[in-house]
Amino acid sequence: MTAVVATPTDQRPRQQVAARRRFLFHSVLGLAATAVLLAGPSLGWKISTIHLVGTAALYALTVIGVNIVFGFAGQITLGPAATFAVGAYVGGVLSTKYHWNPFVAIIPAVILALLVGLAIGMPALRVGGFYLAMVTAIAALAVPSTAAILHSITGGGDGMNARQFSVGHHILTDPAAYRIIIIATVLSALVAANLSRSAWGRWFRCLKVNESGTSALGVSVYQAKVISFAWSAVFGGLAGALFVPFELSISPTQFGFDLSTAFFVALVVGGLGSAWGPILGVALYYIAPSYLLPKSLIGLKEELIFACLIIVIVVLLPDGLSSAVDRVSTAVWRRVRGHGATPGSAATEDASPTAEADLASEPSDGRSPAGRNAIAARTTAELPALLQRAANQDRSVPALVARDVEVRFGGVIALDGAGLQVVPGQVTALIGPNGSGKTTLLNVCSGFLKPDAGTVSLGGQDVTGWSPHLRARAGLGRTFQQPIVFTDLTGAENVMAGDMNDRPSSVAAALKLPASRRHERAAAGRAEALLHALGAEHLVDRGAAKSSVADSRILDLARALALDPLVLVLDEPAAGLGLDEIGVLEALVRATADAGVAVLLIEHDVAFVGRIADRVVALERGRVIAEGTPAEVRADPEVLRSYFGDLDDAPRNEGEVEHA
Amino acid sequence: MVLFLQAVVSGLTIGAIYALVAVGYNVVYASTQVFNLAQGMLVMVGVLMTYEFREVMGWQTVPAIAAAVVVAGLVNVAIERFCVAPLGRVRGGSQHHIALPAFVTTLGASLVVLDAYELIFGSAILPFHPYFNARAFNLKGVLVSRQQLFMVGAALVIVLAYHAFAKYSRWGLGLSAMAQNREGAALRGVPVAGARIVAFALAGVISGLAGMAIAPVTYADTTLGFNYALKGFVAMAIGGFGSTTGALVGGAALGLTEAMLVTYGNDQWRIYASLLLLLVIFTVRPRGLLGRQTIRTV
Repeated sequence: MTAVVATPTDQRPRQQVAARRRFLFHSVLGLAATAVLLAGPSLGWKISTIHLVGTAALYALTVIGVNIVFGFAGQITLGPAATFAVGAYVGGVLSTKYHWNPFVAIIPAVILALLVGLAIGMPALRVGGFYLAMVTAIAALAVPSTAAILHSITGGGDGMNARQFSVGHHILTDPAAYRIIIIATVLSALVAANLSRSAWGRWFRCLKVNESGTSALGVSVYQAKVISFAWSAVFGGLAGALFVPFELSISPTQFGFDLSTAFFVALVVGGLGSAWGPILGVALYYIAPSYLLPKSLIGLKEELIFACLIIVIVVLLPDGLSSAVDRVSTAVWRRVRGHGATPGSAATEDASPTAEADLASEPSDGRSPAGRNAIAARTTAELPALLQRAANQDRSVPALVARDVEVRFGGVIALDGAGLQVVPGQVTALIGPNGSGKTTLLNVCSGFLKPDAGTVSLGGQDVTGWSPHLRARAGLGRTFQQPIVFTDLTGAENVMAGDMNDRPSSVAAALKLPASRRHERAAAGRAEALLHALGAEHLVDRGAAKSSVADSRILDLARALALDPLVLVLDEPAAGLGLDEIGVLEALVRATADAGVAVLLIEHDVAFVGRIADRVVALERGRVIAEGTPAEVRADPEVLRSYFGDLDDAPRNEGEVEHA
Repeated sequence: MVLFLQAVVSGLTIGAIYALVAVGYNVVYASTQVFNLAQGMLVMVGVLMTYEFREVMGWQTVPAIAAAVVVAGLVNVAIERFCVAPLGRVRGGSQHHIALPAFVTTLGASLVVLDAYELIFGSAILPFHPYFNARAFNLKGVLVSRQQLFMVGAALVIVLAYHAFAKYSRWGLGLSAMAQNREGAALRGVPVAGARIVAFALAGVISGLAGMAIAPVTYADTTLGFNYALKGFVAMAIGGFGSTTGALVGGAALGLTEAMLVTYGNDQWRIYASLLLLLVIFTVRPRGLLGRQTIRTV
């Protein structure tokens, strides 16, 4: 693992400085905001102001939670007020009716909110799509109804007065309660920010962009969705439990469906998926109108304005106001400073021209033969250290074996007893005309398709019934015809997302526990080292959204290698690449195989296959018609016939009849 | 027994409205993969515009209904133009990628419609004169009013008419083709953008008709829009996405469950019908009773 340490961090100082400055900028902003909010009551704020801001902070706390599931992970929830209401009622009833200390009541409130969230979220997430949105919306209606039904406990429709925050017999004043709320909100925002910058944050963002790609990383899509939703439930429950002792009354009308839509509007307007979005959104929605808008616009007109804003923002500024503010401030900063290193969002920020010029001294583009050789030499030298699992596997035993695979789509037989073996250290190519079943076989091998018959084994284990993410964790990395690039992330983060070594729990990630820090450090080191080894260090800090086809393929490959795979499956890796780029790719694939990985690829480019493959398997109509070295397969009469047809007419007809 | 049958009657009546909202979702979803959340608000537009034309402006019933239904259709076309069409243009993206933002913009549209109406006309619940005289048919003790027969009958007629349109008219066939394969339909000469407008107009008209049918029962109440949006979704989820018959079955199932809970419990239990049926259907049969596929599976 020494190669990890030897990453050339000194080659990209400007981006690092930019990242550090961005971090500093956000920290200073956060500290300043916290200080102002905490000092507020001492600055002579009126009680009404304290209540307005305190309530807004609790709404922000809820919306920060919604941002995790909706903004990061892309799972729409329409009823964020549901868990807020559960937390409020549990906390309120325990403290008022059963005389618990409101602080202690927070714990059961959060737990019950979490349980209710899981009870409604898990079945809905199992199905996916918009089901979560609807079931949460219905839950948001059901919670106040339930409170009304249980009137002997909750006070029913009339509600009840709640108990204030207290320590022992000492009742806290409004400013003190307000400060507690501000501190809780700030801490929660930090927890959410930790989560966002952790492995889980990356996986949530991957989920939003591409679900099957996420499962190919080795992440359980369902588990990740449930975890993101569970966090939002915890935040909602906490906010609710803090709300009641501050608001001092509780009734079903406080938690109507309009509260849910308000949370939703605030988040979308503020900015989905950004750290400041929820805070900006809530401030705009709850606080700004009473100070900025003329009296005549308060109320319905104001709601109408925000409703229109939703549409305008989703259409024109899909990332919300906070990213627009970010972009404007970046531009202003650039004006002021006269050059490019500025605070700004990592994924949208491109490397500045000067920084690119710095990098040009490295032979990273491979356009010249000399540059290509330099990359090949570097890859050969650096890659083996990064692929420990592959290096340790037994090269005499096939790492991936598919046997007698049958797949039917309705009446169409896509695979008819096909099979293949992939040996470590070798490149095996799967060829065949369109519709011969290549991609189907690949999908059976990587778990995206369940075969009707046949078995798949990986590293000697039968994995036939395993889902894609389990196979990935067991050592099957794959790339896709459409390279899987998570556009919200930088290049390095894309690669880190594929690192399944010592996965931290989401709690460790949220609290930045040592397990998560260790994973981050190791994954970042490995990602940089991998990109460097593949001659693509210029992608490390660049937002992946702007990657070229060649860069996307390299990122896809590096991401698959971050798994430290036993088997690497490449689906048409050369598609869309220029000749010189194919040259680089060849070197990379060769080096990967030499490092001990069993490589399986599908490719149409016969010349490319001829150069790179050690073994070739030819498919036609779902059956293997030839197998051997490239030369052997190319000379095989069946293969020739399947590609070119027969050279005189009569036998061709016969051939078609034969397979009909 | 009489109590039970009475509950069945009222369950089927309200279920008919849920079914119509579900059909509206299906019409748009099938051809555009967009889930138009404003569908429920359009029922409310149907109710409120019928009220405005008939009760406030004093029009005859039929022209008032016709005008209200046209308004609902136009509002939905406006939603397509301002909330859905720009998404495809801005992102240049596929259908799949506009599904999520369209969900958000159509929610925004629901709020715009709601707020704009309340701003213009106010939010009081206003009484609505019945279409028929109040005498009910008495079937061995079970009372069935003309209004109830009208609601169920209207729903059936609308669904049959839509079915015939989809099966036999050129536009209907074009929409069905889009449902199966959008690019293919475009290549065969189906004007995809135009067809999308037709789908939205049609869905708006269906919701508008649902609104006029239910108006004498609910009165002109602005708060019901989201309620219909959610209940229509539940009906669609139970019946299965893309199935018109499924929408009817789902609507009836939800309506009946609600009626039973309300009859044997009380009105506050109504919402549990949706929650219960959704959770059961997720667990037992995620694609719905008659659905071919779940929405947006990967």
